[in-house]
Amino acid sequence: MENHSYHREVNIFLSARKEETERAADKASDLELWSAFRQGDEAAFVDIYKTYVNKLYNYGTKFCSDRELVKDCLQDFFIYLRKNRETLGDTTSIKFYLFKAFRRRVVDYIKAQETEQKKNQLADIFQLQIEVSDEVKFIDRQLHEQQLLRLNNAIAALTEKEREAIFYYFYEGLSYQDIAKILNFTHIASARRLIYRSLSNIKDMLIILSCLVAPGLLAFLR
Amino acid sequence: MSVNDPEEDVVVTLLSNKDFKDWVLNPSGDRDFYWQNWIKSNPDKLPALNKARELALQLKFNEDHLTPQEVDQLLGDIISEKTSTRAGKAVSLQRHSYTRWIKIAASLLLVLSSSVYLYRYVATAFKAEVAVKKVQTRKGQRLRIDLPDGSVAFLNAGSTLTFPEAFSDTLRSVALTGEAFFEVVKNPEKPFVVKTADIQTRVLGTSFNVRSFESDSATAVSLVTGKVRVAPEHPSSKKQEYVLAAGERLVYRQTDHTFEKATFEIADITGWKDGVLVFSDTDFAATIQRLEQWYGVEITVQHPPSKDWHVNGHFENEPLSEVLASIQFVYDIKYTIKDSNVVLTCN
Repeated sequence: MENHSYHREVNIFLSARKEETERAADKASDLELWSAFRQGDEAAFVDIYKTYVNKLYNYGTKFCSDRELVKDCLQDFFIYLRKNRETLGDTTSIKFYLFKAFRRRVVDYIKAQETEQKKNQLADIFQLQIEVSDEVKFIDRQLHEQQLLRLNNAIAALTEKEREAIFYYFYEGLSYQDIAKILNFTHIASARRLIYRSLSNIKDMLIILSCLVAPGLLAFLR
Repeated sequence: MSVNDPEEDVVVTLLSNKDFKDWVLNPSGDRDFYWQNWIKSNPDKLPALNKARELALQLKFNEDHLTPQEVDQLLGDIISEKTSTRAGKAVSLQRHSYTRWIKIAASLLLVLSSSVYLYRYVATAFKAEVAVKKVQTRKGQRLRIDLPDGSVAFLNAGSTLTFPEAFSDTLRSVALTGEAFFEVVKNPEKPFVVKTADIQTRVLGTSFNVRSFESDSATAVSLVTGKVRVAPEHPSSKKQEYVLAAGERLVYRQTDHTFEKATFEIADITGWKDGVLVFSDTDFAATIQRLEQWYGVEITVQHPPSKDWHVNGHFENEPLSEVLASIQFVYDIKYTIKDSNVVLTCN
């Protein structure tokens, strides 16, 4: 147990250091890659596509559970980017640029669908499910799964904006500034308030969950 | 545990602090310093901090992925500019809820656009195919490829080279898996870049060999003439870049991410492009792999050798039976060749 947690700490540390330095290099290389793409470099396009297609797909499935529709949106989205490459703006974060543009497109498609269905079954836009990492699962599986269900119910009870913000913050690691921009907030403080509010709304569930994972924590700190 | 428990509020406050969350998920030196000090000055908040920390580490969101086949298929559709059927329908359906007059206009538009689409599809089908070109060699096959700028690439067996039909104004970029020898036409304004899984080689005009087979666990760049720069594809801790001079060879090892510079015999490394199969102190496993790749055969080893091999020799356009006969001259082996299957027994 002790050995195991030691390894984990080292791994976390190493991967973190790598990410830090990569992020600094990212801005410059994103700028370079994006401008190569805009100037017609097809290899750059394929590079961008391969890096982000699955991230965008995963993101799209949060808005819409219809896999095929998300795939269709992705297809049209990339065709649009490729055709209009010369008119696209500069960016130091390709990820943020793609997320923002893709979100608009997906939401438009879903709205179009809703009009058709006369809003009879207004889909709860932006679905989010929490899982717990495998190493925790065995501690007390049954109890844990019950709590997880309750946590997911608590998350389902959040507003869609709150859920979306949690996803950007924890899963995609976006800054408050980027979250504000994606959600069209004028002030960064609004994004901060939104995250705080979402976390407060699920805090009871979070605390219970944290008690359950405590055995893992003790080994980690020893 | 009451709702008003201040500990819960501390947990929420910490979790909504991006710097705290980033420290937990990516603890860097500076952040670590800050938060260690924060703990020292707020010892009473340590239990809350530990809870928040553990939570941030454990939260895992459900994920959905496309299969690699779907990713490739989708890319193909994008490059041939096939507009998706469903998404197009979604837009047209929206129009149906407007007035009848618009309904007619919309269906007219739909017919019109689909015929334009059909025409465009036929027109772009050829254009799209030439946008990105992918040349692949089977085992036992070697190819000479003329690149759009007049440069030449020799592609060794079992390799793939991807390049645009027309290079961009600022860069000549190609992607390689496997092995290729490049003779690059000089153009200082448009660097020529070869991308492999883990490194990229940037040149202005030169001839060099790149070898990056997945099975090799190492990538090697060997420079015959001119000057090249080699950099990792994913820059890590420090900015690494190596400049090679003619006759120098750089090997990148995937296992420990290290680079090693050495000199090399030109014929050993580049002989393959002139149809010369070269062995230079090659061990048993590598010899078998080489032969399989060069001749496109499947070699079944019934009994591996008790002592390792050190095979040397140049074979210019020789059949497999000749090469095996030469090896038999030095090592005690028995073999049978039947079509593309070879059975090898060592004593």
